[in-house]
Amino acid sequence: MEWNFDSGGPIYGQIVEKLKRSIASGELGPGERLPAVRELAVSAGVNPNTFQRALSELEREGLVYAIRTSGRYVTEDRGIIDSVRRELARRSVREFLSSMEALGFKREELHGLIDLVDTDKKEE
Amino acid sequence: MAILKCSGLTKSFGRVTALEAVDLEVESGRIVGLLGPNGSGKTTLIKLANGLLAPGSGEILVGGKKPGTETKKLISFLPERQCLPDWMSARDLMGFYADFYDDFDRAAAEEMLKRLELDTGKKLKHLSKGSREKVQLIMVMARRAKLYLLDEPIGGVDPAARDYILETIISNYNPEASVIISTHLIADVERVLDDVVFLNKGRVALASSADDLRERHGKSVDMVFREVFKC
Amino acid sequence: MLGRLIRHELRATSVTMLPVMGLMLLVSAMANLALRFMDGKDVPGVLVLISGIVVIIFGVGLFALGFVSVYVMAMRFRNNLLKDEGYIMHTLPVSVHTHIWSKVIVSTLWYAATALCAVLSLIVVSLDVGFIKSLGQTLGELLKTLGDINNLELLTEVLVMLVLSAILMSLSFYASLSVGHSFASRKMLFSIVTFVVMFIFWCLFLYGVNYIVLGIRPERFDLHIDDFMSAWRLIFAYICALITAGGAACYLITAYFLQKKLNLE
Repeated sequence: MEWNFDSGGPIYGQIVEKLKRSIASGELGPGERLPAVRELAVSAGVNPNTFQRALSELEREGLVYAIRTSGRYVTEDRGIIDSVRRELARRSVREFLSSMEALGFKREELHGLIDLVDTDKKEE
Repeated sequence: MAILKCSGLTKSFGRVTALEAVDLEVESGRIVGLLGPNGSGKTTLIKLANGLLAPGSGEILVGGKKPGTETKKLISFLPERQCLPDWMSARDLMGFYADFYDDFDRAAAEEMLKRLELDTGKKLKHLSKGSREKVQLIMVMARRAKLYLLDEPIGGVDPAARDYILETIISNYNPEASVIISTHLIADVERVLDDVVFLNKGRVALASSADDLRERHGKSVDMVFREVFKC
Repeated sequence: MLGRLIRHELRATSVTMLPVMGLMLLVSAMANLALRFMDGKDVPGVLVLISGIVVIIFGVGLFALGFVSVYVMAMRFRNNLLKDEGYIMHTLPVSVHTHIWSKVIVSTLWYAATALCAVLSLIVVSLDVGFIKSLGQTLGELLKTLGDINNLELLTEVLVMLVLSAILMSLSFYASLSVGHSFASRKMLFSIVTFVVMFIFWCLFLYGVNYIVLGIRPERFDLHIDDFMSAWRLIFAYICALITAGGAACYLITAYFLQKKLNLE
């Protein structure tokens, strides 16, 4: 996993976000075992306490569960994974819409724009 | 109990006041950034904790005791300067550290040196400057100490060495220990910090959890630092 | 901890001291050969000249040996405790007193080794060389006559005095270096100034003490000189007490400045 942190907002929040995306996209599959906190922290280059806090947050949201002796696993509950996926998708769409709005496009023009990008891609 | 506690700590050199009425507590299990521009008193504070300087007034306690032979057993110190005797090899140094520190984990040191692919029989004076710095860091982090004091560990090193240093720090400190990293290169270390302490002209300008600070200001510790220390 | 520190100290100083001593013995062997050359007949002038130079180098070297070992020991104290290495040494869980004692003991050991090396060099240079041999014989006879009036007690007392003086010398260097290096700059200059000031105080002290002890009651010494040994014993005890007083003062100054006034760059 590649880790890049931007300057705004707490680091643990950015780790939560990144792991959510990995789980939603299936990069981290359901039931997959996560490496130890220290290992994860070293690979991300962050403080183990910070990483721990992020994992606790994910546990609270039910995306990750811990088994006392053997470690942490990604949830197998596809319902939760799917709802996270949808939530992330909704957020992306909202961001897209607001940036289009900022550029002065109206809602009706967007379909045309998407088709335009598709034909661009085919020509390439 | 706090591993490091300063109350009303003041130190002057002649007419220059290096530290003024510093109150500070560092809890176990934290990685703390001691941040400030050059001459803000970072090194003075670290020297006082190490017993390399005697306090002018006020008090500094390490593990509840005044600095002395007993507290030196608890502290693993990385000086700002490269100051290992250069006629010794890495192997000699492991013997030296094992002789004087009961908490020196020789196996861990050997493992780290092996990963560097360093010739442990070679005298330090025949190693590159970068390798010497790494050997010194390895000796410091191979101790199972209660308090690590790292004075400017990433000053003047390239990004690859910086990543190596930070990785070595994170992967070696034990959860009951605290690490204090003094630096003015904040952007490079802020990801590994639990807490930050800003020192300005010998006074504590700000002390906070790193993530709280980022959350409150919505920006990086580095950017907050630049605002606090705006010229 | 003292034992470990001494072992480390011996290793560190042997890096310079062993080559110095080895070199001295090598020069002695060369001087021995040179002397044989000069002793022989029909030797070309150039070789005599070279041999002469070798012998002169030996003489100067023997003289320099003592200075070098004193210098190396003083610099060892400075480099190890008052310069960058001090960051490592003063953060070891070892008290300042242990540090000072380890340095004093190791310096004294090296001074003894230096003296042995000098004796050994003289033996090497005179091995089987005609005219030196006769000189050696005269010296031997002189020692023998001395030995007759001598006994083990006197020899021990002289040795004790030599060792105490060596310790006083080391401690006086340590004290002046520790004081001088507590300044922010010109550390070596201040060290030398401290040494001079301390020396002046030492002379004043000796003058004062001698005046009180000897000046007020000069009869004290005259009265008890029945024979050489009892007078000597009194003088010996007196000198040892003075040296110990001086050493103790230097020790306290060194310990205080290392503990409270350390000023590493």
